[in-house]
Amino acid sequence: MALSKGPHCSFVLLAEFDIDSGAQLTYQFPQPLGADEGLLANLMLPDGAERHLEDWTIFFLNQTPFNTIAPVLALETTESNGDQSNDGESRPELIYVLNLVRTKHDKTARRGAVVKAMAICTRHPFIQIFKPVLLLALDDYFANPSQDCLARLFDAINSMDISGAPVLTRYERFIMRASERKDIFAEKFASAKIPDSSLNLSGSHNMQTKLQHKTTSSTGSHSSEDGILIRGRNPYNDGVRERSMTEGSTTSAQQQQPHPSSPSDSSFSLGGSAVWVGDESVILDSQVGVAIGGGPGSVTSGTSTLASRGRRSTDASSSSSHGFSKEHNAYSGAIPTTSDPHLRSGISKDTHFFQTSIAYKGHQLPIKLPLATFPEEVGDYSLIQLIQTFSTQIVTVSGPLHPHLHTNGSLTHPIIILFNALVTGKRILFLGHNIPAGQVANYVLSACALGSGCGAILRGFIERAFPYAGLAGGEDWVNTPAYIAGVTNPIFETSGSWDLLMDIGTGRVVVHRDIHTSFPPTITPPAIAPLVSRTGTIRAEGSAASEEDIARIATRDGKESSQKSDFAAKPDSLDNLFIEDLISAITSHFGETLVRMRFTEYVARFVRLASRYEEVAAGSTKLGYSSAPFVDGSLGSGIVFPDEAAAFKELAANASRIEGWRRSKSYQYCTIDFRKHQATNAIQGFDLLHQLSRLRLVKNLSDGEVELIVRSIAENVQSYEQVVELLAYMPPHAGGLQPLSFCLFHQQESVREATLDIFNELRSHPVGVIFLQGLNHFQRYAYVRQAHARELRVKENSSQLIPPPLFTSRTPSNRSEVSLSGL
Amino acid sequence: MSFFSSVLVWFSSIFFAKAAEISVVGLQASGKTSFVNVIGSGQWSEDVVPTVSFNYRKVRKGAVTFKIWDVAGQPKFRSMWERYCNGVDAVVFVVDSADQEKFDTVRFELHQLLAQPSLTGVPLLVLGNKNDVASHASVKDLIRELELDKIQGRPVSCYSCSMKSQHNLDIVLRWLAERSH
Repeated sequence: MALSKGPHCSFVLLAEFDIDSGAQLTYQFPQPLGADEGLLANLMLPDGAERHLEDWTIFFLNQTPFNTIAPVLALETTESNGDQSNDGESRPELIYVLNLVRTKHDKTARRGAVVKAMAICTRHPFIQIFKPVLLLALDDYFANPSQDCLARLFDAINSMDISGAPVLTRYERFIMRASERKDIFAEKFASAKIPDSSLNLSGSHNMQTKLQHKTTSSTGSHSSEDGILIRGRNPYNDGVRERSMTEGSTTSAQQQQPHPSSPSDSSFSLGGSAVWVGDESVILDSQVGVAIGGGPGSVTSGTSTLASRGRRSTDASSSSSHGFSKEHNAYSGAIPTTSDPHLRSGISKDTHFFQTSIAYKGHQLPIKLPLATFPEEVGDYSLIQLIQTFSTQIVTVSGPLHPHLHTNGSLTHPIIILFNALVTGKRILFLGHNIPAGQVANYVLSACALGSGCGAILRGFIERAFPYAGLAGGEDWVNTPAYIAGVTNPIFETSGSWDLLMDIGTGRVVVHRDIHTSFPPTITPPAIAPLVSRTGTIRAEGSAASEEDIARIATRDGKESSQKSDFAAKPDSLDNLFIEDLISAITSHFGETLVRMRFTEYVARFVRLASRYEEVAAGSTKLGYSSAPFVDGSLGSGIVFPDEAAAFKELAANASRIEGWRRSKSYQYCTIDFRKHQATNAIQGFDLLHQLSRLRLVKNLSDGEVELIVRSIAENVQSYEQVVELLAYMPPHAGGLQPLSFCLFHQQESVREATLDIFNELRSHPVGVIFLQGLNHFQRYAYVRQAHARELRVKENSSQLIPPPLFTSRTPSNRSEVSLSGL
Repeated sequence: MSFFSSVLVWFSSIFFAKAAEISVVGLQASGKTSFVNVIGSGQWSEDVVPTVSFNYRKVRKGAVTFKIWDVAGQPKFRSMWERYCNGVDAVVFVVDSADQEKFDTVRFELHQLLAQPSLTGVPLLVLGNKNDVASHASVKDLIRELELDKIQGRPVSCYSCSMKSQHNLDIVLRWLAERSH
């Protein structure tokens, strides 16, 4: 998607500060952009550039009529951009400009210094990867100023080879960004095959490391990660027998005949980590098998947790007596592992990136191309930095309260004010006087990511973002509605027209005093009234809370908001708790990934909440599935609240900003996107997220609903695309597969069976295996045990050719049913 | 004694605090940044790195806090002067009085700026800088060359001064302090 955009670098620019005439654009390569040269030069030489030795700035082209480029020779793909034409828009594609400006103090030069800047114009949003080569090129230009430097840079960048980079779908990106595994989607790096690794797996005759995700299940060619491996009882017989269970049950059964095995004495390996079943005498033998077949990292860690917890009763490992240290030695030794093929050298140590290089003047500059970014994520922004800057003690919030912005009255956290301003389309100005323009630009880019849920949920922020803006070019950008701009010039505070000012240097958050005239809060409290009036209908839908309860809450909320003009500030509002949670996560050194995931989640929830609000206020929604409860035979949909009272509270608290958002462009984009996704999603026909939320949140879920949920998922998760979509909604930080895995312990046979179906399907894809490995041992054991039982059953069936009555005589499951129902 | 006076200054700054916002404009290399440096920190240097776009400083002199916009003077920045002069208490126009060849340009730019409707009535101070150079133009010459007598509707002053020797700087500061409020 992002990779098919024509040349990596569309233009290279060079600007200089001329002592006699000012900022001037010296070179444009390979051809003039057709945009105003003065504007470009002034953007490349930011205000106060002479006070910083080096500064990176970022700006975009093709946003306003004034900064739209019109090259003499049309660029290859400018017009034929499929992504945008879908939206019914004909605006040219955004061009991202990464600029490096440097001030060299030089006593020999007139007036003591030389200021030069070089910029790369590209269509890739991940502009940060070009920083090293731009540094070298500008150095070059300082040493030897000529247009050749630009040509060299242009050619070097455009000869970068990223043809081998895997292109991920939307849901694959979700999974990748949520996963911290460095081998996630390793199978996508499909180019090289490693023949020796399959040789190392002794006796695995059908163990091809075929790295395609759509493996042919009929021939049973799965990589060892894919399957549950069954090891024969007697490992001395012919080494270790490993076989993928999914390779077709009949063959498996027949080959198993000479070595009859039972679940009690086999060990299962699930993608490198093993679960032991059976008596201890077998374990020692089986360890050999693991040492050969297992991945090192996961097993070692897994075993050690086992040992430390001593959960003998559940996994019956008790390996302590049999040389635990030996086991460790085996793992740490040079043992070929299943994950090896994916960690091949030269391609990537971390599959989140595609490693390539740019050859520049004999240097091979390593380039790490991020694979899971969305177009709304430009550069290497940092949400942590943004949150930290505006969460310190010195941060002051001033200006009038506005219902769109102050969703929690005077206690609204600055970051939430910023988020509200972003989604409700306020004009936001980041001011960093005496701060390098590059830093200011990063705040703008972070804000865009904040508003869009890290590019995953909403869009339309980057197109109105001006990471670095100045007075040049007639301040064209100021007239852009709902701009998000970064400036270093304090003149904009007094003269600019903005709605929210975020001063980075002093930590001031200022709401413009005229905000009520530029954004009249017309229908505040907008949704409360319809909410109260519609309480009846909602109540009729059958909720868990008692009727009086709801009525009381609804009217109380209504009263509150009408009396106190809904600026009631609660220190324990959901948003405040969310931000507190984030800050404590940051202070305990959780990474940027987690913060991003949390915000993606937050924005996703906001959209679903807005969808519900729309239903309540307007009767129908264009944002998502309309909410419906579970009724016999049909699944529910829409946002899930712990209970109805919480729903009303949250809707009332969010009403104003949702109203504001509904008038913004990102809302329109969101409705378009929802329609598009609904048409193209692999899992069709029901609201998947609703079902998973029900499993996660709701207490006392009825058996009927659980069964229907699990069965629907099982029926709709049959292909790779569907597996990926399901997993995308189950990120590791939210517990991974946990909500589903609990269904393995459900008292109803059919629920357990359907869950088994889902997990079996997951297991046949490498990415699914990674998620299964994320389960804890108890859950994993439950799965392996039941899967094995089923396999045995199938085996018996085929050997006896007598179909046993369905759902009978399955000791392990029955036993668990007894124990569960006994509780 | 000096301690006593500094305490007095401190008290007066509390009780009689005043502020003035000033824009410093003029052609490139006429000494605008030098002027700000000299009244800000008393330091003068031969080579000042040319200002890119603008420079914003807060300088306190006695009871008066000056907010000074020091704007770049190259032709490409001159169109922005108006933005920086809009709403200030005084415009300081620095002229290199030793560079008489540029007086035509200076006159054109000065009158161009003053013709902006947003700047009506804003006091103007013209500084004939670099009067330590022998060939500098006198105040009289400046008034004639720059046609300062034709400016109407605003207080206009013109001093000959030097940032290098700090000649006449006290008068300039007094003039600026009078614009404070």
